[in-house]
Amino acid sequence: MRRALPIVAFLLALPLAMRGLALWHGRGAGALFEGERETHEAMARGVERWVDEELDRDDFTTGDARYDGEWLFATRMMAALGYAQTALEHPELREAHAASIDRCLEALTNPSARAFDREAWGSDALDDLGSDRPHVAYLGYLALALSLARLVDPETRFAELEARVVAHLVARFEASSLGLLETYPGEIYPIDNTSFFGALAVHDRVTGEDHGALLERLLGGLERHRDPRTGLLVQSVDPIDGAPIDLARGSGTALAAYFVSFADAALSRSLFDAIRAHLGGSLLGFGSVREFVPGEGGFGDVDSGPVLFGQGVSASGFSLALARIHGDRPMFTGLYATARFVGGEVDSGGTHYALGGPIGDALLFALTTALPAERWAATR
Amino acid sequence: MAILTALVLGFGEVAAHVAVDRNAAGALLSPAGADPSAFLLAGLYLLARFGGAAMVCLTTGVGAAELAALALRRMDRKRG
Repeated sequence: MRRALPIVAFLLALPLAMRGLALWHGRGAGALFEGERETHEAMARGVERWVDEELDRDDFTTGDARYDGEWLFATRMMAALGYAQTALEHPELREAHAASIDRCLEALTNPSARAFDREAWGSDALDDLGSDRPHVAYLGYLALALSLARLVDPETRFAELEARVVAHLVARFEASSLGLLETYPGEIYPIDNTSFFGALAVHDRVTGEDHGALLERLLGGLERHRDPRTGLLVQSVDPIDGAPIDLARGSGTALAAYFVSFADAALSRSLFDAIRAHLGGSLLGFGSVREFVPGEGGFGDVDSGPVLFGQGVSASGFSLALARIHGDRPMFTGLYATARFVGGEVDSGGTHYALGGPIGDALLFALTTALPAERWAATR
Repeated sequence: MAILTALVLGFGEVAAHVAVDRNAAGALLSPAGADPSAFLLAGLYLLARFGGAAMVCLTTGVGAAELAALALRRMDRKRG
């Protein structure tokens, strides 16, 4: 019995050491969760590098020119969301962050930023405003950045463009019996559509317009695309009849729940609850979210990032936003510890990550500064 | 063992900084089109990261076991 004591000590120390590592890597989570201004400012300063640097598609290496273009676009789009959220949370940052958002929008509306969408559709998204081509891959996401820019700075020079983009997509959604539009010709992803649902709610808040009935129909229509067993959102649907052609997945559900939070906190919460119930997990202080429910799925794709032992990189990262929005501090801390450990923070401010790159840094900025639901409700 | 752990962790830190400078992030997020050198760099970084964590855990475990053995020896000496 006495001889076993060192072995017992060894076995007890292992999980304690793991727990210590999780505590060490999650040490900045409290400040982010509480929304400390200094922490938000540090993240904002870190992302400036990717806003100001002359990035192009060659800076991304997904192996597919379209995805490289999407990542370039998403870097500035998510940065704009991060700047907007922190400006709304800390009004004293409003002026400085409005200027940063302006630079993001300048880059987002550059013809090179929408080349990925133009190549897929065969026509330019901004030239097509008013046509029957929805261009959701570009316009859906752009609308959210534009509407938040207007909320931060009603006098933004992009206000007119925001109104035109919203009017274009409103017309397309009103004409859609499915309640979903094509990201690219013949491809419909509910997640991409939800970025516009969020944008429309923000637009109404800014302008006083009322698209409540349309928004209610669109948000209600998402129910049809949720897995009846788990409540998770299907990643891709048939453009003809809306039947699912991909599984319900963590990455799409989590990002959709984030975007939907701008429009409908209860629906966002319901999607988050589905994630927690079926995909969420934690091991000795490190949190993670699965990409697929157990028994389904594979190794992942460009949306999910690598799927290791079932745990999805994107699903885990996107869920950071949900944990903050819906007040789940333990989950936020666990996911943040995992992000810092695996992502490899290379500065003490948590602004650059070895495995993040431009898109990872911008995503973490937007996701960790997502506004808690009650603060968003009180924001005007 | 502690020195080896420090070396592995140090290597991980260096690899992390080089990975940022080389913008190797996409290599693991989407390996399909990754530049082989970026993929190798990102892989080395991850290896050092997980290896370093495993070494920290092992060092702590071995340290705890040695402390327990030392405590037992002292108790034996006092009795003996």
